[in-house]
Amino acid sequence: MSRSTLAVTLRFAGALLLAALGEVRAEQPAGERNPDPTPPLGLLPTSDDALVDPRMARSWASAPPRAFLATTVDVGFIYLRPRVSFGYGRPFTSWLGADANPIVSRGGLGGYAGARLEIPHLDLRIGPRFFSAFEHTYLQPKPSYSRLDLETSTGARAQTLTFEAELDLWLRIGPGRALLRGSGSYITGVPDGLSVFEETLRVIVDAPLVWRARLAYVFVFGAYQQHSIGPALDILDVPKREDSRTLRFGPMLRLGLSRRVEVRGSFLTTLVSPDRIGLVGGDFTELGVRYSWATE
Amino acid sequence: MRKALAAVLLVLPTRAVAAESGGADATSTSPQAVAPAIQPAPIQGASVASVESSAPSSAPSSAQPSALAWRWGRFSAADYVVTGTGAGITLAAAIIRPRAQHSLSGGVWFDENVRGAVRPSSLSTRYIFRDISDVGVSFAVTWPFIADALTIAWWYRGSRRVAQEMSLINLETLAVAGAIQGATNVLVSRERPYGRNCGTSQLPSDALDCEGSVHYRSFFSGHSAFSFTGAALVCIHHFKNELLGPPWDALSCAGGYTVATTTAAFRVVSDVHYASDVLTGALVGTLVGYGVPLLHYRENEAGSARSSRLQLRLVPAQGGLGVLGIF
Repeated sequence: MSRSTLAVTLRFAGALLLAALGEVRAEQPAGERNPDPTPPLGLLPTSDDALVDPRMARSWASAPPRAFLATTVDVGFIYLRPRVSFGYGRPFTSWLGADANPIVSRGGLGGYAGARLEIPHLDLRIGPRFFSAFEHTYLQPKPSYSRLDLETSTGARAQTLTFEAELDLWLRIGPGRALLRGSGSYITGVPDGLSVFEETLRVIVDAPLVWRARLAYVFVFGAYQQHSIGPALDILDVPKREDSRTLRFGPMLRLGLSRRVEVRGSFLTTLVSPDRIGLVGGDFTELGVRYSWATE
Repeated sequence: MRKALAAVLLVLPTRAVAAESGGADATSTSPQAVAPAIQPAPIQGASVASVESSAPSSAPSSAQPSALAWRWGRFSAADYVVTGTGAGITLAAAIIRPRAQHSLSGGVWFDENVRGAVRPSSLSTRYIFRDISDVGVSFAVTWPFIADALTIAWWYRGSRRVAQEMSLINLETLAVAGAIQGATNVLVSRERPYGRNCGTSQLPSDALDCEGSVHYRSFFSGHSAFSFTGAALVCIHHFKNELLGPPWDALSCAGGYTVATTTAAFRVVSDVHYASDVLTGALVGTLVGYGVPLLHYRENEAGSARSSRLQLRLVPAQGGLGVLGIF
């Protein structure tokens, strides 16, 4: 990268950060007026959470920017993903801070911690993720893997430290919203000459690099625009593997039942892949409930 | 006649029954939230709709269906203990390896005939059926929570209370089913049908499927047990609460059993269970799936449980008070 390109990139990143900080500190979220800003919302559901919360528009985003602690807990069959976030701004809407979450799944144990910037239309997170697999081992490099190659007990159990950056852009288009997601992962901890199954992206990787792009369009509905459903397309590529392009396609669903409770689902099945590992290689990772909470 | 008597007698303790029946949430403060609760009709009537009408008038659209009321007992402390114990046993059984001594090996009765008839020769095809059964059990187990409790009872019918009680009953039922299935799995330690192929060219001995913790968990099928438990939960909640009304409640129930049957059958096709494993799972799932919820629905049902024992009432009579008994 030349010096001039680097300078332009840094200037652009600086401008983006300043704009984001301005958004985080703004008194009102863009385009949103607060109908009832009376705090507090509390930790447990209240009677106001009955039905679709009539004050759903009054979320944690309604109060002025402040330092806060927030949690989201995703529960489904079978996963439990608690996440703690702390930072400054409006929880879940416009804020700058840090995220941390343990990873507990049938596949193994791990954890993630990183920085997060969220403003309307943009969500950026950067951080390391550690994962220790219960079953999956490091793999001998092959052009194509079968399910049996993946589900073998030969070799050491895989342990990886992945440095990851993910950027989401949401755009309002027509009756719904378009999502553009890009992520890059740098995987460490893989012995030379071996490959590994990346448990979050669900793809077999010749370390260190793998990137993913997601293009989705969700139709938004509900009196408070609290529900959405639509198709999503994932493209994954591992630069060190030849013909490693993976395509997944399927629906994404979100039903907002109250400001705290959402039903979420995503069922992206693999259309194109160099490997034949079945459902393990699809993004069928979410069918459950999200519970959110934040301090006021 | 008995019903009529009960209706007459219940006029006096209207307020108490309304409170017991849980028709009004603790937050219900509007006066009309109490009186209609004695209506025997479970739903659909405007009277019942008003029971939880003090829930925020959140109906964003004018076509909002009537709200539900929970007419049964609350989930008790004992239920929490049962749920926690069941969940603990389920988790422990998933971690503990099956016994080294196997109480059951090979097929029994029709097992080998069924296996020979439905098992695809290709391993990759069997993995496809196994994946579909995984998707099936995911849907079967999550549907009673996500679709029935949260989406239909809470969002569509407007009762968080009903959604909460349904979810807790679901948890308890699945925990009991999981505990029975997990403990049996560990104790019986039956080799899976594919086990005979471990160490052959068809299935290398280092395959995860051939490891001890997976290899000997054939009896009985957890996928089958959980799927049929889920189907039973769908049916009983729909019919007891008339969540969607006819014919949708019956269709939801039929859908649940379609998913459960497919899931169970595909466990045999994918060669991870014998037919006797999935049939036992279906039987246990059905018994637990109806048995546990019925204890809740029967226990405090205002009509039947109350009238099943002697009741004495003071009633006005000519020239004074009379005592009326119902049994």
